[in-house]
Amino acid sequence: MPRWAMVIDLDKCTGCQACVIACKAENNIPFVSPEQAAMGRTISWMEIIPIVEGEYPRVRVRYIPRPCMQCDNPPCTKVCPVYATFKNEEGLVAQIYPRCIGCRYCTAACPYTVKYFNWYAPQWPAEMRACLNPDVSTRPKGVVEKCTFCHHRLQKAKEKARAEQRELREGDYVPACVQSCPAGAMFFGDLDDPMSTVAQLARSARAFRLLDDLGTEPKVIYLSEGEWYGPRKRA
Amino acid sequence: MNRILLFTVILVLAIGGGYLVAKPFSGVVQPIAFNHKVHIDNGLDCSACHERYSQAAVAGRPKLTTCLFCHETPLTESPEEEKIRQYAERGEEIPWRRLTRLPAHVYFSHRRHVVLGQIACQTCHGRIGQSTSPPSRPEIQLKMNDCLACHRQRGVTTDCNACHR
Amino acid sequence: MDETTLKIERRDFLKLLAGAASGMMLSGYAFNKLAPVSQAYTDWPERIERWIPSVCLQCSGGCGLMARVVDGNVVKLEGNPLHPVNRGRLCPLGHAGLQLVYNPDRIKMPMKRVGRKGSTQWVSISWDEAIDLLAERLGELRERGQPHSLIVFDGRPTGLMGALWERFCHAFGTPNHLSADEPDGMRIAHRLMQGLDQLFGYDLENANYILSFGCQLLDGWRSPVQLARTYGYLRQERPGPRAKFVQIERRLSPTAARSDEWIPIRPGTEGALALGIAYVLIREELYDRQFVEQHTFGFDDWTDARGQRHKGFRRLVLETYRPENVSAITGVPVDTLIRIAKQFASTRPAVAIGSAEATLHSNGAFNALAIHALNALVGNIDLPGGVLIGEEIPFKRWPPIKSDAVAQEGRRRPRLDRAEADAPWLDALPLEALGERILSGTPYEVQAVFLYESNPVFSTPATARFAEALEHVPLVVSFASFMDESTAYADLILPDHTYLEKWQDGPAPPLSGVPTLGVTQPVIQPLYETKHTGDVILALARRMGGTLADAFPWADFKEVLMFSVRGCYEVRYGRVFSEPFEGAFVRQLQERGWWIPQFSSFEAFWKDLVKKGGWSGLFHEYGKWGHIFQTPSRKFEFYSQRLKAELEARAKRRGQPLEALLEELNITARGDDVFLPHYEPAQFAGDESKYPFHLNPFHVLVLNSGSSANLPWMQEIVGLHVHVKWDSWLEIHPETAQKLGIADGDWVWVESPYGKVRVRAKLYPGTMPEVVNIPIGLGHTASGRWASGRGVNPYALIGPAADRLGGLPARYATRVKISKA
Repeated sequence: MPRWAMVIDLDKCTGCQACVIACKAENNIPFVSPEQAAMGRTISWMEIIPIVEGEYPRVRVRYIPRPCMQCDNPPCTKVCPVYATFKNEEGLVAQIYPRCIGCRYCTAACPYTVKYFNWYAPQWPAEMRACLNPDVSTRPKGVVEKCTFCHHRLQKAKEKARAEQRELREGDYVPACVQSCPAGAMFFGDLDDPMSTVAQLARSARAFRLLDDLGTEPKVIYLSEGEWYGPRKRA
Repeated sequence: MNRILLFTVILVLAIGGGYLVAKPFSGVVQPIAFNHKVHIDNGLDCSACHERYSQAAVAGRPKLTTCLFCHETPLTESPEEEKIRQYAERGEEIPWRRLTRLPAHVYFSHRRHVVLGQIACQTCHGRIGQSTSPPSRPEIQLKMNDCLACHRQRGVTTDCNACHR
Repeated sequence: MDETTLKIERRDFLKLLAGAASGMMLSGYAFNKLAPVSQAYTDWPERIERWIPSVCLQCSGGCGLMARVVDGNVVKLEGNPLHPVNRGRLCPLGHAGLQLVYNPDRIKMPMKRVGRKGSTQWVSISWDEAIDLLAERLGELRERGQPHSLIVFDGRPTGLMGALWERFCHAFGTPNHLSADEPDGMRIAHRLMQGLDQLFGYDLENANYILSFGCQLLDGWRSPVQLARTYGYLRQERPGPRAKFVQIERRLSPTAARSDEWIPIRPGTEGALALGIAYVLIREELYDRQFVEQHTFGFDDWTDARGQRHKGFRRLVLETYRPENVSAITGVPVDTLIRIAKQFASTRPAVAIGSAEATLHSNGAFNALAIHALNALVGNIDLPGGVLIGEEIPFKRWPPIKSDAVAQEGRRRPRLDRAEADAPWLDALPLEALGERILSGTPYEVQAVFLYESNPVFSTPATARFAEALEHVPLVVSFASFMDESTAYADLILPDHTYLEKWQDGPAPPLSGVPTLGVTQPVIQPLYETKHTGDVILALARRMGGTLADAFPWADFKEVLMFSVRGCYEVRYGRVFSEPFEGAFVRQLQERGWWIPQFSSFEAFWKDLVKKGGWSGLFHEYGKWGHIFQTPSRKFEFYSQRLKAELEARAKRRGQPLEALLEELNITARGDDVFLPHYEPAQFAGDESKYPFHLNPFHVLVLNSGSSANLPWMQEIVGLHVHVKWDSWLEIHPETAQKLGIADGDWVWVESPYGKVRVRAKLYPGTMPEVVNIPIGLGHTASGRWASGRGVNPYALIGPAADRLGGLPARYATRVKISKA
């Protein structure tokens, strides 16, 4: 059984946010009004967190693309009272909308703030409904949503591989953000396959994981030269 | 008197309960009174009209050109058959209406189930092939439990993520 | 109630009762027979999916697209993996193409003004009516002998649409096909030093040292995806030592933030820093002596044909640009300057890149000369990792035009943006200057204006008075897809298709030096009653008849495209896009002079071209010295003989000594220094004591200079590093803010001598203490529901100043003051 993981090379990332918009287009993520945005209700499964440090002229800006970490030990699933969010056997943390009751316990539990609540049903102008991705459902009011690692692409990739009577190959299943990254800073694959690109990169001396000391065992691995917050740990 | 009262109470409960329990569901009326049985009896396979079930997620509905392949010149004197050519003259597709529907949050692929899983069409669609006039509702109304039962029975995945999207 | 309905109801009634009796197991079906039949079940998506290659035209980057089209709607845009510009990747703007095509604010049909001009009252008309009307009005101009009074503002002057407009203007009889594209002063340096009036490419993938003078390499410059690819490649993929990337800029832009070293510099002094670096290179003998001796002119002192001695670049630099002097001008510490200069000289190949940011100043052309001179000093012109002079795409030439007497007469008139013969400046006037000229009727009354992919009311300073100018012109025709600020003044709106609905050429911008042509093709049927502007030009020419009709022997724009790309089929190099390894093999053969035809007919070529997405010339041919130095000396000219000739000719025409002309142009240098790269002090509108801050309007990738402001996704990500969405902001240095009593998020007034705007302040340590920054692209008053009324337009603050040699607007040369609102 594969263990899907993402590697993001912060040394290559330009902070262009192509991944953010690729995700919004792929996953039918609605935009919210400026007033709602001011209340912090913008939904962005993939978000770039900018960190501005230092004083002029020694200022450093770092960009951290942040999808769902798809933790191996996810804090969000433990608090869900209805099993709407859970970790499946391939290590993906699923979010099943029809089960979700909108209690937002998971939203509070996630240390990476990847969970977003739908305060109202998405509002698209009629014209824009035409360009919704038919592979992804639109979410109703009152449920929590988050990055799925584009698992609808996995559903289709698996089927295609089976129809061609072969195993899933590296590159068959890649989330929209990874596919789009202009700088080639993102990688995706099976962490349990020692020959996969992600497994090799995860062994790099540059590899670390966000908030590693919480014990969440995230499956998004970052690469960066130089110092970083907290200890480096191999994934 | 008592019997009338009881009857009234039952009636009120029935209507009220009906409103509560049943979701609004309108019967499907097809633009042409299509006879599945005649076509099957004439040796046509499901794929003759629903041509994409073996390659794609959606089996597809017949295009006008598919119908005209046989019906360009009349085969019968049926006024329903004549409607095909009327659509053709107007240059319109036949507005077939969808009978079986999936919730928007479910991924279901015909190829996966029919070709890879070797499941007969009838398992989900019932005896539509034997119908002589278009049914206004599906014979089998699948619930998630039906899907799960079948998945369990065949020992295939019951991961929510495998179907929910 | 008729018989049938009653029957059904009765039967259902019985069923109901039966259901109730058996424990209320009501079927929805039965119940709903009572309810009115809804239209619910008509939607039956077939999910028939196609992937269609095309080229993104959101910016001029030329990325290849694969459009995912499901049941006739485009639902996702991805990069085309075969396209050499982006290799399957795409920027945020590219993805947001969906929100452009399916935008509810698109103009859906041709319209004619009915209300007062600018009152935005229109009625829709048919295309036939629209073209008749336009043909009639333009016909009148020709009858009156005024064809020259038609102005075409063209925001996409490169490629076939630009050529088509030029041809129309030629056949119609106007010299006024004017570029409304973003200016870049480096073009002037290329013209004066190498005799080539074009922008050059830079082979960054093979460079080891990149010295960028304000160039927004990662924020939308030329081809965003190609540059991001290059960045990622240089950072972690390329074997060997890591390339160093230094950003010299007045703001810590995202580009500067991703560089190895950010060097803040006073606005407008970039040229001085370049000369300071040149000083170190020359003084320490670190320059490329062989290149300088063989391929340059005017480095050492020299004697002309008449025996007169002239100063060379070496002496000028050594006498004037000592690091201490340069440091005092630029604010860059001496040790930093020396360190950068030594690194630049000792790392090969090293390349210096100029930019609009460094050249849209009062001294912009001279800054450009100084920056480009560095490339010659390190001998990095026409080498891998250096400056590349790209080849044109080998389009097939169109048949010559036979224009009639009216057109010939009109074409002899001066262009609106060309100075009169006796004006002092060197080059065409910037767009900024034309509003005023239209209003004053100089050199003639403008009778008609066409706006193609341009919105000058929004994208030129308010002082340019473009709104008034358009109000003044009797006939304004807009080809816009959105009701933008300029289109508001249109008399006739002829909306174009969006790029996902039409055929067009998508040439890659100059970067790799390899001619690359992507093909934009319709991926969906046009959603509305819009029409390809190319087809409008052809229809208009046909309707007007005569020589005008004869000039356009094509039925539609697709025919124009097919006619032109035949050139790529016939030329004996290049290849339709292919897998990288296959392309590499063919390139190696072609570099050795082997040519294997790929197709037996043009039809087969075209079919594959459209399927793969485009054509590439595959390789850059080095060493064509005759081509890359088209100067009088056939060398790279430190001492620009062209500049000298032009200035002297101008002074002569005006019957005044050169001295007086220089005085008028406000050029402080004298003698040979004028024609050599040197620093002219930067000048700013607004007195420093009253307006203490430099205003730095900056471009943001996702706003695309303002044309993407109506895409909600772009509004959501506009101000990432300062946490701003859906709004403008003013970047201010934290200590400066503290002194003014301004806290993060406070409303402030920003006031220049020309105007003032109210905006929220954001304390950003990547701001120089004497500079404030405002993004360009927001502050629309029209252009759609999401764009209109959000943020501020910094052009409201900018004055009409221009570069001293004339061709460049001085957009970064305004001072402002800040006060708490």
